[in-house]
Amino acid sequence: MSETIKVDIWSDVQCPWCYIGKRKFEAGAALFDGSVEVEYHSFELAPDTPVDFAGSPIDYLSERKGIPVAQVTEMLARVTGIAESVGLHYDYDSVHQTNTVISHELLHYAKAHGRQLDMKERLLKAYFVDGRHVGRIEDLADLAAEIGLDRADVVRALTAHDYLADVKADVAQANAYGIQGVPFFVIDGKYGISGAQDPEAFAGALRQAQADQNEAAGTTAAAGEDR
Amino acid sequence: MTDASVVPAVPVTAAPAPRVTPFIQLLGQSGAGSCEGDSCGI
Repeated sequence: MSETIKVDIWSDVQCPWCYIGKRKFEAGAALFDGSVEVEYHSFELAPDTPVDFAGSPIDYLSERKGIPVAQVTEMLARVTGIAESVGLHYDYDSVHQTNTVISHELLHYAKAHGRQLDMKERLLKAYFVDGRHVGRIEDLADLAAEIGLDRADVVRALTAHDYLADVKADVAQANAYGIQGVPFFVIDGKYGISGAQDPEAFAGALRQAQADQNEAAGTTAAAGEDR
Repeated sequence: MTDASVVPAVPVTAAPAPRVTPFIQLLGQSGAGSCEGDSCGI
């Protein structure tokens, strides 16, 4: 009998492919006949972004990357269409471009309180679908309270940056793995999957990890019988 | 045993410590949607 397969996922809150990849991974895990444990890790795509960027995502991408507005508009429409195909209704007209480091601190707070997966889903939906701000402590505390976390304690922890070191440790681990883009999935500590791949890719990696576990368990059992 | 009179012609500097990189094998297809820096391949 195989053990639970651990999946570590590096992701950023304002990464459109991370939410799409989350849905595709969840679909892949549903195809897998086994137990999966997921842990999210922090990755900051644009750590120098101001908390209150004055402008739309179109302004942000065109100003920062120098991409023509028409091209940015077309790109956002394309990813919105792909999000729609996995049941996510992105609303870029209401998105608040921001710095995500404190939202990552909140994800670590939520992990310490056993609610990381719910918090991750709430933050992604807040950013891409609901037009909520995910860079200010008070707004983040509201979102945390919506999933049942203690709002006052969240404000205290985020103000004190209790979990900033955990965010930086995740970023350092990503660097050690050579991760340059997100979403990035590490299956059972040894298989990597980059990007929002199709569900079958995730299911296949989970099956491979399960087969490895079973083979290792068989080898151990056989060695025991030989003694 | 070293000879204290021998001085290396080239200054010796300590080599940087090797960065330990856990080995992970990449699976799946390349080119799936992902974000790198400000660019999201969209």
